[in-house]
Amino acid sequence: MTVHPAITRLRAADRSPQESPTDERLFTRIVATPGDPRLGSTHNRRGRRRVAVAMAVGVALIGTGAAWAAVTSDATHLFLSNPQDSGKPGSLWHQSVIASSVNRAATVRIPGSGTAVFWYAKTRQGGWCAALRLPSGHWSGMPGGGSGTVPGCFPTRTQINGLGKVYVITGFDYEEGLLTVKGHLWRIYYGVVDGKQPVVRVIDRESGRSAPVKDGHLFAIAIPDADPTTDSVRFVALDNHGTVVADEAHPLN
Amino acid sequence: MRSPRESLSAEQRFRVVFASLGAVVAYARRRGSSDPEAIAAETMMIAWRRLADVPLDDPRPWLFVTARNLLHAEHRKRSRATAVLSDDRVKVVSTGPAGIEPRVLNALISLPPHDREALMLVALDDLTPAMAARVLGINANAFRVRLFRARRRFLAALDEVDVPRSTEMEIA
Repeated sequence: MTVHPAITRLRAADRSPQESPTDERLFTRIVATPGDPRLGSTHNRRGRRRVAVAMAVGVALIGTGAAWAAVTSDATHLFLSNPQDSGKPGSLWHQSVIASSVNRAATVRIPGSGTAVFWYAKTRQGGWCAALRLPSGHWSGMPGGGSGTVPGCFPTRTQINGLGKVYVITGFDYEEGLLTVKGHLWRIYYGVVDGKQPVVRVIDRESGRSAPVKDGHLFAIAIPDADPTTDSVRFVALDNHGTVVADEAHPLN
Repeated sequence: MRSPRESLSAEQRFRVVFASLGAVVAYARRRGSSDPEAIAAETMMIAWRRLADVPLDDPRPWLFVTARNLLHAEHRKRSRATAVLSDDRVKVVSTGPAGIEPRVLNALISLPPHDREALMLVALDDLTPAMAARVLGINANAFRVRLFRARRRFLAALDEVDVPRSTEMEIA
């Protein structure tokens, strides 16, 4: 098969350098972060350890006869066990929860299912902890909780970039849980947002759905997803004047 | 029956995708990114978080679309003053592709953005017409028509262009 002269001419004129095909440090940094919740193993890289932790948490709950009223303690235990942890003391991903900061950050109603709760906490290392409790009472990403980011404590995006640039800092940092209700997929996004001004509301420009922001930076929002093969959200954050103060499509100035 | 690739672990799947890192860096560099390595790293991060969406047979079209969106964001930030809105799409002005012989670069820049992008995807990014069509969101037949026109215009422009002109272009 002959190559068209235009293609040949253009290729001959290309003097750009051959790019390095691999970057193991970047690969390692990326796969250390939560992956696609639809692929169980991406967020369960240490699956057996996490199952063991989940079982330990479950046994502890049964043993103490914990009830719904004990959910704060439950979340604290979860963050203390930190299923997301790499288990390597000194690593950026080894974040330790500040127990007194554990709080019920936001709730989001899923039609036909109930209310999901975003639990949040700070860490001693400057990171944050997140977990999503589904209407069923299970933790998203844990056994029985379906697909989602495994709960635990994470470094911030800025902290991760400190080891080498990975993220564009947009002000948004969130996790994701998936829930199927009567055959319809819901994506539940929960996390933190920092704008140039205090944020009061987060809006998804694609679906038009919005959610209030607690304490100026914590949010949870549920988006129905008719087509799970597309990435169809774009969040912006508004201040109390309705001004966009963060947009995940743009770097935060 | 599951194919061998379907049974890969997430990290193994991502390893297949990550092998295209160099292609994404080159894609971003050729489209005038001020930081192509950062664009490629962010593209790979998105690919990791959306891994179920990334085709494993050849992930480059998916990665290039993602990188293009990031490039638009980068250029919007960098060149807000020169951005113009048209047909609900943001066209931005960027520096021309890096590392192209000046005379050829000028011929390339003289093409309409869609024609230039069609040519670059096939000649420089080494995509098949079918894959390039996926990047541009058009069907393969429409892409072949565009490529045919682009090749003809490019050769004609090469004959006309002698003196280097502006090295700014719009990203399609």
